[in-house]
Amino acid sequence: MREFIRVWREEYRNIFSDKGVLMIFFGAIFFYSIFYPLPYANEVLKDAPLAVVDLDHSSLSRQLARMVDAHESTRVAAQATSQLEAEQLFFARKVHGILIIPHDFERTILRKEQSSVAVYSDASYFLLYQQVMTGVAVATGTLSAGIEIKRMQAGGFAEAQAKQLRDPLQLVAVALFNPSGGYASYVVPAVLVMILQQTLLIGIGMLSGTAREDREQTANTHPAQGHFFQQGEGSVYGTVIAHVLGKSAAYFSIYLFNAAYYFVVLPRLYNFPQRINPLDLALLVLPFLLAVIFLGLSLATLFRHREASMLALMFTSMPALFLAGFSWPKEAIPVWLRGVSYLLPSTTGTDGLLRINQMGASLQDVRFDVLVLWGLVALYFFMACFSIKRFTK
Amino acid sequence: MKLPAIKRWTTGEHAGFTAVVHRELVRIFSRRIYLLMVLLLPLVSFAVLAAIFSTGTLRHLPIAVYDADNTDFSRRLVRLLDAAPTLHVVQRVTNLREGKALILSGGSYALVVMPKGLERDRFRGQGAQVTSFYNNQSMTAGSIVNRGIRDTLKVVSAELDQQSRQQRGETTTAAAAHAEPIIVESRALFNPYLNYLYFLAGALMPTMLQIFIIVVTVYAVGVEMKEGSAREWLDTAGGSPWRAVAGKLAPYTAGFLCVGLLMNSYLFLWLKLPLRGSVTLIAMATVLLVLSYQAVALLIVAATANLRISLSTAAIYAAPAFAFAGITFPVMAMPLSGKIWGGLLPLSYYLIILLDQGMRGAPVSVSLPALAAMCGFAIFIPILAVPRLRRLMVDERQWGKR
Repeated sequence: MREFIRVWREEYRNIFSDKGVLMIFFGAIFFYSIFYPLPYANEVLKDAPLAVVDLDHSSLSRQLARMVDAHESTRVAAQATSQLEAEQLFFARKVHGILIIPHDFERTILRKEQSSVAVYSDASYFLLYQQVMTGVAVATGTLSAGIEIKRMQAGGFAEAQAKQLRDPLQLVAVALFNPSGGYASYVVPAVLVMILQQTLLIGIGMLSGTAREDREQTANTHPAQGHFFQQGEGSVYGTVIAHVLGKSAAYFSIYLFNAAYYFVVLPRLYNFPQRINPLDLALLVLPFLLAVIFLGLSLATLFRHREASMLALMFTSMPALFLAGFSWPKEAIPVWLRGVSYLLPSTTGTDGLLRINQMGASLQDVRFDVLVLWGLVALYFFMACFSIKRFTK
Repeated sequence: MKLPAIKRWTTGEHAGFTAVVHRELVRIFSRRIYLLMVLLLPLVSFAVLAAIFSTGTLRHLPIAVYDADNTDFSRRLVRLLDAAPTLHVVQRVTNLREGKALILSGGSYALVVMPKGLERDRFRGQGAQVTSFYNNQSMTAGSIVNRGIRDTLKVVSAELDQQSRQQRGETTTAAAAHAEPIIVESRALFNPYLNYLYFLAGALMPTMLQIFIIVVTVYAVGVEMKEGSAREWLDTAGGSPWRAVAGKLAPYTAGFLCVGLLMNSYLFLWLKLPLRGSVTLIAMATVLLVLSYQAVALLIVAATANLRISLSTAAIYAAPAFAFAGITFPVMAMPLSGKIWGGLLPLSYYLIILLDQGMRGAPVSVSLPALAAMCGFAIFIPILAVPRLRRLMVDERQWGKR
């Protein structure tokens, strides 16, 4: 126990006397919390620019163009006289959609026949594609419905009756959890989990890389003191466990604050949809942080130099993020890879956190994630002990 | 470090570009970390990403249904939903709470509710209504599922509309013409099947590549100061900082060009991303991508003179680049500061060229401004960085900092 407290205090000293580690544990945490959400500050894409090629020049075609312009997701940025001109605007990225209204548009409708408009939308940018399609579809649908209902009223139906007749099976679609489809609310909470994990791993790796560099230097001058740590009284196992727990206590206490900042303060600051149950959140964060810390200590002995942990972890961030299954659905990830991905605390950590913090799930709903995380805690605790014991002589 | 081969170079008249290249190759092959960084880790990361996306398009996403009506009509709807290519009905729940719990626990992305009396309303022509709740926190899956449900029901609705018109005595053709006065013929340009993989993988792989380039370059240059070998490095180059830098970076440039070739082959040959424009332009852009990130790396080391801080700076510069490059969330919707930051990343220009000349098949002239911007990075940044780097190489007070 005394050993545990000694190691804990010593690790605090190591952390707070190392500018590099402070920069990761506090600097990076703070910096990324501002920097990462920055591009998504507006949450949704409004007024996607499109070009209208109006070959009809009728009052009805102008009305359609006005309605497309009025819809919040689209804006008529140019009136092109020909398809060719619109195409040039398109390639120059001045517009991301083209609406073509044919020359007999109004006449066809007055003859009670079916008329069609063509819309070309830029599917090389998915969000733009969606906005263009939504804007045109809603505007056209509204205009079309108005025309049809008038026709039916002329045929003797009441307005309400006419509305039902034209759409006999209606769908009411309710978007849950992120009703406005905000992009920051979608991406940032998941990325925050990844930042917590990666900075923690980098910091731990950096601390033990430094210890190892120092040790090699000491070993050259004073071979007798070149041990990873001095063994106190008691058994080897007791000392090893005291070391693992002592170091972990230092990291854990710091990252508890960081986690509170990321999962409680930031969502409010950025107005993410949040349905928080503090106890459930705490019970998920606990195994997540422990699993990351023990993983960090297990990996730590792999790093001979201070910088090595940073290199290795920068490379793994992107694959780890996509393994978490928030962007590319987990159902589409090959089963074997999904199995492997559970070895990363971020996989279940991200999933569980989004569910509890953004979707309002209870601990019961995410019990699978919690169980996997506790399994990782146990696994990496033994690995951490084993890897630290290798340095006891 | 004892490198006898190099001693020979530095003292002799052979000092110069080739000597530095040779020295660098010896360093690379004598240290585990270089091989790990330059070859193993990038390839493993690429392979993992490739494996994540190996199933291709998104199909059969799980949804649940709550069929309170339980009639021929509602059962037919359930069958149609299950038959939609993007959907897979994994569970029929017996109440709303069960359906909600399934969404919360990740078992399904949506719950479709067929209320009691659905079939009756449909027969009476009273506007039958189906409700769907879909998970929009998982936006990719959520919007695909929502579209699948909407399209399925639309088909049924149009069918019912025609039937009732026929019952009222309109002929089939007249009924069809009346059904919808204006129809929208939509074309998804460049990516007609809305393949999400084309869109995501094409942007992700280059993003990974730029992280490798900048981090490896920063490490390779910065470690010379940290370990105090910078003077010897400069001497090997015969005192010219330009030759020193060029000779040192050349092996990595070659390595990353191979990785770049591999990446483009994976994208265009394996994943079969459309390649409608100029291959030459894509090749030029790939060379410039490698050079401009190496240039930025030099500037970072020159400015910070400290390996660890340069690595942190490189991390800050390159790691969030995906968000700022404007593929997933378009540049036009970003605040000004986001637009500016995105403009300072060679990746943004590279992805524009890759999209223009790949999927979009745009004329070459459209991509020239982006290409010019990348040239700017590759030419002007070294002019800024190398003189300052030379001062660091000879200033021993700057060494050994960590």
